[in-house]
Amino acid sequence: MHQTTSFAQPPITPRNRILSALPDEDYARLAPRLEYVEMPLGEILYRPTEIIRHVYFPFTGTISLTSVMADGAETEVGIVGREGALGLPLLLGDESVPLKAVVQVAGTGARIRSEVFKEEINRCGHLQRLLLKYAQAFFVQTAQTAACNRLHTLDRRLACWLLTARDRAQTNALPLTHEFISVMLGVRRAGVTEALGAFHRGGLIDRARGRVSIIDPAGLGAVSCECYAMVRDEYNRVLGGQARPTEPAPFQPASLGA
Amino acid sequence: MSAQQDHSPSHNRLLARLPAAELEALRPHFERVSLHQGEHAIVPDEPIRHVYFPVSCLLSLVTQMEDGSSAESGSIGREGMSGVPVLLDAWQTPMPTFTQIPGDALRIRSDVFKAAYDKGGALRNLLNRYIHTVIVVGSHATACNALHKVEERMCKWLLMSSDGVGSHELRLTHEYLATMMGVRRASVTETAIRLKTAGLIEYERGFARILDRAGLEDAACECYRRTKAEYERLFAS
Repeated sequence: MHQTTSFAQPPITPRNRILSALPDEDYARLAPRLEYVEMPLGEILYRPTEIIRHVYFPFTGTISLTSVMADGAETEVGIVGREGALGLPLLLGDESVPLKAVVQVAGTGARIRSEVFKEEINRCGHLQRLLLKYAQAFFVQTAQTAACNRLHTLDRRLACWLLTARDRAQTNALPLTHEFISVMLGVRRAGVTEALGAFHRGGLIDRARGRVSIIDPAGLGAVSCECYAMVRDEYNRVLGGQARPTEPAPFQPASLGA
Repeated sequence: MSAQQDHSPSHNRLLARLPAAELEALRPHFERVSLHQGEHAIVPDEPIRHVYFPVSCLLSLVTQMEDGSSAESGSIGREGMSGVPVLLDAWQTPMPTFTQIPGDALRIRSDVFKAAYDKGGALRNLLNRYIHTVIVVGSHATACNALHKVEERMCKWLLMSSDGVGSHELRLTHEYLATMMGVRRASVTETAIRLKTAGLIEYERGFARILDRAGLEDAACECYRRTKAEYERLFAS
């Protein structure tokens, strides 16, 4: 279950990039209606075709959107972290989505009830504009991943995926099992284990049970297909330069080699 | 590309769903154009000048990689429009959209259409629902490309393209199909022979004809049914 606290007075500056880009006036209106939530690993936030009750703005951690086939096969189609929000269907006038949303890296965030969110969106103000831009970046990410899934080898896709997860979660230490990664990439677990072994021998990552730590992001960048940089740049282009001056650490998809 | 004056918007399902009054106001701004194969509706990283509503052509969102390989990330037929980035306030995109199957489309200047969208109302609501459909369908394609075999994907592709242009006959070479599906041409040829032997399609000299639609649907992955259901949900809303 979620542990929730209302933030009548926001306990911390929202570290979500969409929320922090709102002008003070808009944020002040929204703040009392935001709930602080913890997002434990594996928690399912949306189930396919179920009515959506909340929109989520992650502060830390990541949420994975997956497509589930009739035979149970599942693959990730997008990741949401502090650069965005989970709830595009409501923004675009739908009540549900035939995708699953599950917490991939445990974290915290804020959520808002669907009715309240729709009320805010209907004002056609900054929140709506920011989220429409975010929808564009998400759309490009999905399209690029569709081609990437077809064309690129497992090791290149895995490197791309690890770097993207690192940017979204803002941490080098990713608590991920091989099983989980294999579902996300839509490949067999043995393939993931083999590729991670090669990354480890190459000094790119460290592994422990249920954890992958990125040691050499630049090296991983060299292995990754171009899709990592392409999608990162698109997020930056579309959403760039919107952080409020008060925001302590504007979202920087951690520069490689840093 | 050639342009002519007269046209009926009803041949594009999305346009046909726009509220009558709003469509009437836009009508003088539409022109009907014939697009030849390979012609761009969106050139990567250049301003998007027009929004296209296919009538009998099929547009394709193709992701091109640095090594020259490419694969289709989505297609647009008479159920949709090109130019989603314009509505989302991005006037350009790194993703090209070009004509995969030649034919006609209605087009309108991006700024004129965006202004109508920005007015809000029923037109904006419908287009927002369309954008959501495109994102969901694109998400399915992402998973499908990772999980499903060439043969079932090719069946899906033929069915979706047929729906998109509103015809059982599709003009496309094996080479072109291979590019779209992100596989080697030899796989397309082998798969086409299998589908032909099973009596599902005819495929000669760059022309594919669907003979047994129900059979093709059985041979396609579930993604065809899922994608179609998403569009039907949109048009029923």
